[in-house]
Amino acid sequence: MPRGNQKVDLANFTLRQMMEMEACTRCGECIDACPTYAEAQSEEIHPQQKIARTKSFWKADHLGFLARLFGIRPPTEEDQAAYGQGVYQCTLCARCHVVCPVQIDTRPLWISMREQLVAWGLYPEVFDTLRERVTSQYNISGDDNANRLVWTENMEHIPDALERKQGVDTVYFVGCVGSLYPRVYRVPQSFVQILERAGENFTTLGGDEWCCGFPLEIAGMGKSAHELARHNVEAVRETGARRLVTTCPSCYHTWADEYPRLLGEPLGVEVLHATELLTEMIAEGRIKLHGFPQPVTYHDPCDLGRTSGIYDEPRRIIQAIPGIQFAEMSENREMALCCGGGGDAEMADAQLTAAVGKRRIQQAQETGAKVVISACQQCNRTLAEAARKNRIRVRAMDITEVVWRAMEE
Amino acid sequence: MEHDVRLAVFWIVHLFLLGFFVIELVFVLSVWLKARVPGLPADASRWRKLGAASGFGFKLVFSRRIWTLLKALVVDGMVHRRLYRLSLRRWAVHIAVFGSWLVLGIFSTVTGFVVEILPLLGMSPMEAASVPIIGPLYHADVWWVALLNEVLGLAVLGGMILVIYRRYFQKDPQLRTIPADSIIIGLLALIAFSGFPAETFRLLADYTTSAGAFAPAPTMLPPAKYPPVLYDLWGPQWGFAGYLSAVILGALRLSSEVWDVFRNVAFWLHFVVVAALLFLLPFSRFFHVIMSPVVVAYNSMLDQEAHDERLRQKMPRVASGPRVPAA
Repeated sequence: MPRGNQKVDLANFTLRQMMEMEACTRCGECIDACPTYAEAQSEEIHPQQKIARTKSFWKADHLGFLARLFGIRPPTEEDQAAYGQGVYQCTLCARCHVVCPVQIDTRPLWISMREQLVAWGLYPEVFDTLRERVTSQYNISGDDNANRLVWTENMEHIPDALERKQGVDTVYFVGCVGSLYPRVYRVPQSFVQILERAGENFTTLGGDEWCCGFPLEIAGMGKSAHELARHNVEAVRETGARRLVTTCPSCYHTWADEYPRLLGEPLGVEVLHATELLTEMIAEGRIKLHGFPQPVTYHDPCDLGRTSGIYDEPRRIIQAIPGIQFAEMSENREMALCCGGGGDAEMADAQLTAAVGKRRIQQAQETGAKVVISACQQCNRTLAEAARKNRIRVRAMDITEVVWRAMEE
Repeated sequence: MEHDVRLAVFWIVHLFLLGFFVIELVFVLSVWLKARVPGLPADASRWRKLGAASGFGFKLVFSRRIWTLLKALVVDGMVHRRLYRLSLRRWAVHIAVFGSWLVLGIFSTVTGFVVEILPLLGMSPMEAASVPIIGPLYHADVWWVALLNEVLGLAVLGGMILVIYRRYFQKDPQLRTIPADSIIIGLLALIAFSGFPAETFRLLADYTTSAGAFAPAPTMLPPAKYPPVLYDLWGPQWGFAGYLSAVILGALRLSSEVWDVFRNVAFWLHFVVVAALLFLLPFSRFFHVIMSPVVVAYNSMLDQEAHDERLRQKMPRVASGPRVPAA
């Protein structure tokens, strides 16, 4: 859909982002780091081009005759379509931020570009379905939200008071992928058993848990996420819990960073990722790990590592497991390659993100690991799919599963 | 053209261009202010946004965060730590161009202050040239001024040659060259190169005897131009490239009047190219020379603060009490 006569609405960008775009030196460091550009080799994907395009669009619209004097022409429909495609083929992994000599905060910038594209109507149609599901069914799969605890159905033992118990210490926010996608049910299943064994007084929100809003926010539809944030925060406050824990790094980032900004107030609860809580429990001796004698490697989820700065906790947990043989992948920590499953890019171009996933699972294989551990349901799902499709004999497991197995051995 | 007339024209045009440059910047800022400023409604007026942004900047400057910001400005904005970690070669080229420009720019500003502003404050050339440290900048033939200008000028020129080689001959796949890039690179290379003939012809015009011989001596310059207090520091030969060229061209035994014509041509060529770059700057990719240090310093400060905050949060906690450092 063409943008017609609509100008770039600079209110979709922050003043800081305007300055950052001008500060881009076009040095090209980001081009080498971009995982989707490496696979597609399309000029529209890489960060430098996205910034250049955005600048030329707003300059053409807002600099008047000076734009024409300096040879900046209004974009054609083809330019806009190519721009829209490139912006949505990004996994929002933020490796470009890590290598940028100017340290441009790229991830929020790509999201602002998506907000502009949404305002123009230049976004993949599948995102309309996503918005419809999340705002009416309160989850990304479109299932009845009352079935949020469907993952407990095949558990031999279901912990007590799993749904909206009052007066607890901790609320476990399961997230849409963990709750409703059978392939990763074992993540919440493992985690609640660990919590119970560790003696944690916890509950979940059950059907009262709504999507955190992350998929909408990164699609450029964050304006629809405010109601979700308000509901979730109120629901957690009603339990009287003092902290909230997630196994999903995207939910974690949304709760820890986005909700206070969106709501303009402190949440009143401490927000933790599962790896932080598990590290604490191991240090306090509340978890006894017996062994997991396998060669493993660890995949840093983008939203846990680069976005939230959590690199050490997962490694501490892994190294605390007796008998485990841990090896790092060639690209790790700040420079970890994305699994391909982030940024809603899979919805825009599944083939492209599968190619990124293939490269990552190959990196895992090169370490000699039999298991690639992650701390994200989405990474887990993407890496497992990449291993299956490419017949690579590396098993993808979430860190909660590994810990639970080590407790059970 | 008489020397004084040339300088008067130079300053008038220079100040006019600087004024135009400021107007361009104000225009660019007015467009930026259509963007969102966190904490304000999206439809807030641009004056309100400017007030909020200025207030934020003011508070930042007068807070303890200024030290983190200044450190980031030096380490990341000036020394380019990240680029150094990424590639020593690219860092060296960038520092040769950017760092040398920066120091030359600071030198030019201080020189302008000594030569033009101090006399306006009632100082004679002798007194201005006697001011400690900055006084010798009164004339480019003071040995260390000549040496610094020469070394920095050659560094810029060498850096620009490497930039051109990497972009147009080596064709580094990491780079994407558009026509606007070529214009800016061409102007930068021309500025770097045109400084040397300007210097050579100046030496020839100033130090050619009535017999047409290039025989430099400080006494050949009037005291107002080269105050005797600087005689001990005189040493144009330290500007070796320009001096050597002057020695070679001096063999032509042209009169100082002829060399003065060449000097004027080279001087105005150098000036016009600088003016063109200044005019293009706010609307070209070269704007990054102003924006990058500011942005990288601010972003680096935020990164450092986020890192410190994470470390603080990871400190062991006393049950239901405050966070305390590890023993």
